[in-house]
Amino acid sequence: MDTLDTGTYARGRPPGGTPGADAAAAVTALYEQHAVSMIRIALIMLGDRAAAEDVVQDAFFGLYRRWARLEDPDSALTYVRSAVLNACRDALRQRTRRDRRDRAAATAWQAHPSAEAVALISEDHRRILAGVRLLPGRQREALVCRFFLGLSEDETARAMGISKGTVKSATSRAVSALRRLLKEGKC
Amino acid sequence: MLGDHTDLDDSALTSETAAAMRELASTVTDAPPLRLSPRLRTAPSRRRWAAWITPLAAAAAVITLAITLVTLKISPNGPVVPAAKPAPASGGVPTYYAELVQEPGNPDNPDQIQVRQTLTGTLIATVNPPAGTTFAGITGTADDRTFVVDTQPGALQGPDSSPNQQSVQPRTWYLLRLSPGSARPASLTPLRIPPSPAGTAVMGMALSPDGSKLAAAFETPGWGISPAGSMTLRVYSVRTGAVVRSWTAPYGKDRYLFPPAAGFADDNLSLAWTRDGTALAFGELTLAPGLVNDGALPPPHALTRVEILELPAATPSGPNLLSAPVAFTFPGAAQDTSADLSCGEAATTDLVFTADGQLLCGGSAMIRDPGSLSGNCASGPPWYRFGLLEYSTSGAARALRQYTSNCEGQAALLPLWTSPSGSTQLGLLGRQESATESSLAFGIVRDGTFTALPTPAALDSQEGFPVPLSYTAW
Repeated sequence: MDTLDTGTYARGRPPGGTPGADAAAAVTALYEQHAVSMIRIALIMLGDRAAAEDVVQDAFFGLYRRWARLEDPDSALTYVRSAVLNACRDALRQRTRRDRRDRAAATAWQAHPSAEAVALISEDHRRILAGVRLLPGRQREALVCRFFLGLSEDETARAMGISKGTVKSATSRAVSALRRLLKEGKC
Repeated sequence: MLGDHTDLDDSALTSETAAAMRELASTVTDAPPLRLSPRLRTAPSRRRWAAWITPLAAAAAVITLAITLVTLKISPNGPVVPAAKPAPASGGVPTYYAELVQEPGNPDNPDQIQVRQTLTGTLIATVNPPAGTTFAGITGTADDRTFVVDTQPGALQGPDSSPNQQSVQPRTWYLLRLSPGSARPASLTPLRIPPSPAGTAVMGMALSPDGSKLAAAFETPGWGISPAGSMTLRVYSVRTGAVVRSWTAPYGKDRYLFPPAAGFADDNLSLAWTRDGTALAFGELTLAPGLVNDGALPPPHALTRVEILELPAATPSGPNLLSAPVAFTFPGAAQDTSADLSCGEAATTDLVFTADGQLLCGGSAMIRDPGSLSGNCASGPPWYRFGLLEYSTSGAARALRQYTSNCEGQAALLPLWTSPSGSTQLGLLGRQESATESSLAFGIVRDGTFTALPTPAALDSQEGFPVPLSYTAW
C-alpha cells in the first residue's frame, strides 16, 4: 500500500483560500509519488491507459483546487483515491449511456488483445480481466478495492461511499458473475 | 488452463483475479507530468468530433500527398523515369514507424527513438534511452504499436571502431508501446529478459507477429573463423523473460550466419518470424575457403552458396541450429555469371514474410547483367534489372517485382515492410548512378509504381549503399 509523508505535504498547505505555489509544490510532490499507483487503479477500472491518465490528472487537479480547504492533509491520498474511483465510476456510467456496446467492446478486447497485452499478460489473466470489465461498475470497483488495493470491507465502504453490507453483496455477486462468465466462455 | 479456473473455489478465484489485476497494473511504470490546469470539459464532445475529424484529416493528407509527392514510375521491363504526373499516394501501409535517430555529429550512436507517421513523416513522439545508455536495436510486431528495443551502456560505436566491428556490450531489453493521441504517445517498459552475455554481439532480433516472443541471435565474435567463436539463437517470452528455446551452432568454418544489414544497430532484418509465428528464417552464406578473416561481411565474389534456413520454433533446444531445413537456395552465386538471378550482399538479410507464411520477399535481390558492376552505362536498350524476389518454402522462386533500368551502376529495391498479401511494400529504392553519384528514396511500392514518401531520418543521412536499414521498424 502507498504511504504518505504527511509532514511534507502539511508544510505545503497555504494559509489563504486559493491554491498557491506551496499547494502546487505539495500536490506535485504527491503526484510524483503516487501517480503511477493511481493510474494503475484507473487502468484496471477503465481498461484504457489514456482515460486512466486523464482521470488521475483530474483527481490531482481537484486536490490542488481544494488544497486550502483540506481539513486534514493526512487525508490527501485518501481523497485522491476516492476522486479517482469516483471519476472512473462516472466514466463508466457515461460510457454505458453513450455506448451500449460496452460488453461487445470488452469481449472484442479479449478476442483481439493488443500485442502489448499478449506480450505482458498471460492468457488466463487476460480472460479474467476481460471478465472484470464485463461486470457492472460497482461490482468492478468492489473487486478492485478488495483484491487489488487490499482494503478491508470497512475501508472499501468508505472509499465507495456505500454500506459495508453493500460491499459484501457487491463483492459476492462480482465473484459469482466472473465465474459464470468464465464458465460460459464469454471472456 | 482457464477452464480449470471455473472449478476454483471463491478464494482461489479472487486470488487469481488479484494476480491478473497486479499483472495489468505492472504495465504502468510511469506517469505523464502533472498539469495543474483544468482539462477541457468538452472532452467527450471533442472525442466525438475526433471520430469524424480523423478520417477527414487522413483523407486531406492523402490528397495533399497525391499533389505534392515526388513520384517515380517504374515500369516493369521499362526504364526508370519520373512519372508524367503524380500517382495517388498509397494507403494500406502501417500508420506509424519508430526509428533510432542518431545525434548530429555522432551518427553511429542513436540517442533517441522518434515515432513518426509513415505517410507524412510527422513526428509523433520522442523517447530517450535510460541514462548512460544508447539504443542499440529495434524490432516491431505487425500492429505498428508494439516494439522491442535494446540498449547498451555507453556508445554503440566508439570513435575508433572499425566498420566491421560490432559492439559486444551487454544489451538490456525494453518494450516500446505507442499510444498515439494519448497523453503519453510512447512509453518504455523494462522487460524481464536477461541482459545479453557480455562479449557477444547481437546478430539479429525479431519480435514475433503477436508480440509474445523475442528471437535474438548472439555471436561470440569469430564464429566461422575459429572454434573459439559461438553462435546462439534464443527465443524469449516477452512477458516473463524466460528462455523458451536456445539453439547453438558448432564451429562453421567458412560459413556466415545472420548476414547483417548495414549500420551498427542490432539487426532486425537478418532474422524473421514467419507470419504465423511458427518458424524463424535467417540467411546462411557459404564462402570460398580463406576469405573470412575478420568477421566482415564477405565480398560478393567470395560467395559460393546463399541460402535461407527456416527453423521451426518447436525444434527442441540444443546444438542443432544448423539442422534448420534449407527453405531456399538462391540460384547462382555471384561468380556464376550464367545465372539469371544473382544476389547482392544484402540478399539474405532483408526478410519479410507475407501473410500465408509460404512466401518471403527476399528484398534487394539484384537481377543484373554480369557486367554491370563495371559501372559503364550503356546507351541503348535497358539492360540492368533489379527487383524483389519471392520464394516459397517448396523452393520455387519467382521475381515478385522486376524492373529494368538503363542507369549506370547498381540499383536495388530494399523492402522494409510488406502487406499481408504481398501486394504492397514499404522500402528503399537505391541507385548507384556512378562511382560518385547515388540516390536513395523511401516510398511505397505497389503495382509497379514507386511513390516517394518523406524518408526516415535514420535512412536519409546516408549516401548510397550500404544503408542502415535496421534503424527503422514497422
